[in-house]
Amino acid sequence: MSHQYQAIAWNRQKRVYDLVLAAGVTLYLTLFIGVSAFLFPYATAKTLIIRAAGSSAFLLLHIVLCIGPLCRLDTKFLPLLYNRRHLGVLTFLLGAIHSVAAIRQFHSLGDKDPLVSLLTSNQDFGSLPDFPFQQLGFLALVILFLMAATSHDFWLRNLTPPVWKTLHMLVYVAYALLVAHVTLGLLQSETSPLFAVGTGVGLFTVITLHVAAARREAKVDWKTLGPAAEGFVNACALTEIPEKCATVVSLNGERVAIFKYDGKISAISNVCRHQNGPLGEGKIIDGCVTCPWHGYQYLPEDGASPPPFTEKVCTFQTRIVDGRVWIDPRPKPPGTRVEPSLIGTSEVMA
Amino acid sequence: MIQPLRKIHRRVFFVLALLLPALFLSGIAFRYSWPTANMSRNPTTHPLPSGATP
Repeated sequence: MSHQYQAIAWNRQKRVYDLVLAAGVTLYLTLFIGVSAFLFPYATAKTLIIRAAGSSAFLLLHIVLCIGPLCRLDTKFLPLLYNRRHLGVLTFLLGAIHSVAAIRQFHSLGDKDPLVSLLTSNQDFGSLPDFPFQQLGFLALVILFLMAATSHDFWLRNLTPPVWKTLHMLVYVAYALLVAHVTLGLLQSETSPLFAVGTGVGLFTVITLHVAAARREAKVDWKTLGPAAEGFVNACALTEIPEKCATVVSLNGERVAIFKYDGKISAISNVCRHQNGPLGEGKIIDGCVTCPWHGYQYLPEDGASPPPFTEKVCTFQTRIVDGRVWIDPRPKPPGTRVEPSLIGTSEVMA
Repeated sequence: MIQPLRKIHRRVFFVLALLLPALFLSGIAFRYSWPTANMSRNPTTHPLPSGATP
């Protein structure tokens, strides 16, 4: 979290993440170009660069899209999520190298401007095998550029998390365009089953992981809560909440994280102010609810970040009756202190 | 607060989960069958190995 502007708040984890990322991509590019040059000695350097950069960008985009659902299915993958934006920016850069090299190779020798040539040379939109697939790739690159350009927390703060997230959901449009770009481009000219199987496995993996994560999420949203009394809703049993962790329930369509810590119960909004991360999947560290995505922290009693930080989330009134947690579904304004319910000295509802 | 966003996310992905496999399979199914090299069995079309006689 940040209380003052810093271009990039570097720390050890970010450096290690980026070093591993850079080393992985360099290794991939070297291996791809080396093996391709050995297998296809007549391929030009430009062709090898186009293919190496394009395939690495496509592969990275698959990894970017798999990280989200993997984290929802297993918290072991959370370290990958921490700097996912760096993966996205690198995906754009590799895609840009692919595009520039391809435009120079295929569109720079005519009398038209290369960009005009790219957009107008093939207009056979009615044919699948002859579809102008390069335009699809170009459109995907524009989307990836928009996302890379707004990936910094500066834009997240200024656009607000809901707008920023809506904009970044365009990644699915970019992915769809790139699957079409590869299917109607590379797979039309390269008949080796290796390329088709590789693309198919990637697509299948992305879809399967998202469906599995969505099914898991739906369980929380569709879980029926106990009956209401005096405006409080019977949310869950105390035993369902692990110590220093939370159980997430859905109240009026919004999620609430109920935390158990030091013999107390507090409930706050499940939505982190930074990137709308799931606070209920985080832990209480040093007395603060800690978002599992980027480590933003909030005090469980008032939903406010400890000074000098200023983020605040909504809080909820709780009660404990006969070993069950009851919640008032009406959220208190962000940062409002609510006395935690003490375990063992349960209130009795009239 | 983010429930509408979740709904959009679910719908977008549902559409893509149907559309993309259909597009991928159509792309594979309708691609041109490119001509392959015709490997003739006629020995006269190939040069003989050095030292061999016809």
